Amino acid sequence: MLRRKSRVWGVLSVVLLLSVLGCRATVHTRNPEQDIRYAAEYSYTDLKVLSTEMATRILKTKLAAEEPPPVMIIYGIQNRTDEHIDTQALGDAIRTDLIKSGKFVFVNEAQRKKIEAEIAYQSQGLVSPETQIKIGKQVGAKYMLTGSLVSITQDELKQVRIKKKELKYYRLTLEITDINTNLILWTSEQEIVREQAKPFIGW
Amino acid sequence: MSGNRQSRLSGGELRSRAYTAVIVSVVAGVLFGCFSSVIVNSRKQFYAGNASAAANTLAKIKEKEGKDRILALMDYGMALHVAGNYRESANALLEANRLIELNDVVKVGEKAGSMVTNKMMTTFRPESFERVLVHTYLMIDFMMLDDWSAARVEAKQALKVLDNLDPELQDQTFTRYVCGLAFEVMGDNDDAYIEYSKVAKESPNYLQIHYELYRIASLGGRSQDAEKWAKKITALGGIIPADLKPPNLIIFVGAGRSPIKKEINILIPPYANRFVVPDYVSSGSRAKNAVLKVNNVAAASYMLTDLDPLAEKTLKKRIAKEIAEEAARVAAKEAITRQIEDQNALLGLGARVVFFASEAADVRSWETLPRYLGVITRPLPAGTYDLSVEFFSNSGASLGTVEKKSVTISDNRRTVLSMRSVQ
Repeated sequence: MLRRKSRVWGVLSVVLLLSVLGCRATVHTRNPEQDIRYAAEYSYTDLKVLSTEMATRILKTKLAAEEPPPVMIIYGIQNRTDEHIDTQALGDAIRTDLIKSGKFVFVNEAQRKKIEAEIAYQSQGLVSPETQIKIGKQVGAKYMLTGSLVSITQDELKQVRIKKKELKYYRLTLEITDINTNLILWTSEQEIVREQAKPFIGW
Repeated sequence: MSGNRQSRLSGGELRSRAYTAVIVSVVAGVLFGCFSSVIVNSRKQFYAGNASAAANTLAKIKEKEGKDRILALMDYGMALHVAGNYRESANALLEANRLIELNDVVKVGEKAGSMVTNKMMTTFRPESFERVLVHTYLMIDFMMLDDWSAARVEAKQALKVLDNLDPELQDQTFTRYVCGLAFEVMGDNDDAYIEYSKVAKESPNYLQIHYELYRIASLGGRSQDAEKWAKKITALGGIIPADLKPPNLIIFVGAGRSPIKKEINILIPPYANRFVVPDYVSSGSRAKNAVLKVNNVAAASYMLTDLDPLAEKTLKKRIAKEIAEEAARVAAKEAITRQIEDQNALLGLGARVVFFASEAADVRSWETLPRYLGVITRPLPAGTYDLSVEFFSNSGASLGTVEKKSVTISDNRRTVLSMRSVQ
């Protein structure tokens, strides 16, 4: 009887331990280079892959050999997908890689209004004349980087099945335009195709 | 000792205990599975004209896990939208949509549980038109936030849901109009043209949509199409515009109350089993039309979608499945009851009473939706305006006015507003 009681307690302890461990919230730090995905949708690894690859391609162009480094402006990458994707983050990541390379410099289009406000503030006579920003010293961009991210989703035909398959295609197209001539000097595209199978039955 | 104890309980007693446990579980399940009183209370506040209070009430349960969370988020999103908090409304509806997609599976555990209780015990699954309207309200939220790119994302998602529906459920004209607008503003004129054409097909008397089509066809160099739409404009009593400027003020109008689901009860002799199925009934909306007054000029709304017939059509499409599921549930309950009766007549009677009482149709629906969804468009010179939108009943009785002060209208961008009457 004693043995039976201890066996019952043993089983109960294991169940209790498992439930405590199972219910415990966990946090893990993952390597951002590692390709981890829970669904076919755009994720942070796509952001990394697309931005790194595109920056590498830009750095192989003739524009990257110009001296002094050409001034570029990013006028946004359009999100033409059916997902809420932060394409500004994609542009930011490409710009970071290009600035790090030292082959391009960028004007800060996003902060123009704040810069104007700061210049206006400094012009009120509140700052010492020697530190006051001089008007007309900003650098004009020579090239403009624009692009679009599109996606096409293809669902499996309706039929008797236990999983629903979906094909997801992404294409990022970037282009660099000479603002002076309005000529597209460089364009490139990168594609990602992914298949996802979602079960129809769950618990 | 354990052997002794087991021998003291006969097989019959063990079964009786098991059956008692089943009955207690069903009673507990039904009690715990009751429709959230918070949602009921928030709806009362919403329809009393206090959308902010309704949103505050729902804020308490918006993160609470449970079978009605999707519905709570949908109501929360609507209450915030009507209260003018478009950012939070978008967040709530995005979360609702994420959960809808996540729960788009047959949940075996829930299904099994619902076989001895009722369908209200399962995770709420919106009707197809409700799914489409989640995206529609998201589109409007993003338009109000001037995030047209996000509105286009929602337009694509709405069309993805719409295109997978039966053809007769695809004519959700209001949603198609909003999609068309999102595409047009983002420069996707071909996509806008397709959606506007579908609106014109379903609402051939809506003059404004023919103007939109005429404009896009003319701008795109489709002279034959432009000619076709020009003829339609003339036939509807309109005048061919001298310029191709789109209307810069667009007001989305929601009027009345969506239809609600009620339970249809059928008693089946000889054992008096209850057979229940949901049915949509009109909730007696009063508001039907709206008139915009600005600059001493009036512009009437055009109601593109009436949810009463759409809801009825949607439920009718899947009622056979609903009946089959209910028949299986009634049969399962009857089989269990008979087994219990064979063991213990009194317990069997108890089981019959509990199963009878626990039967309930799934009558959950997005009840804060309006019945009529429409639009008012108006071209205005750039400036700042005080606008008012007066709602009217079917018989023309005024039901009150919603005012918007200091609305800035520009020449080169669309100003979108959303107005609602809950009467």
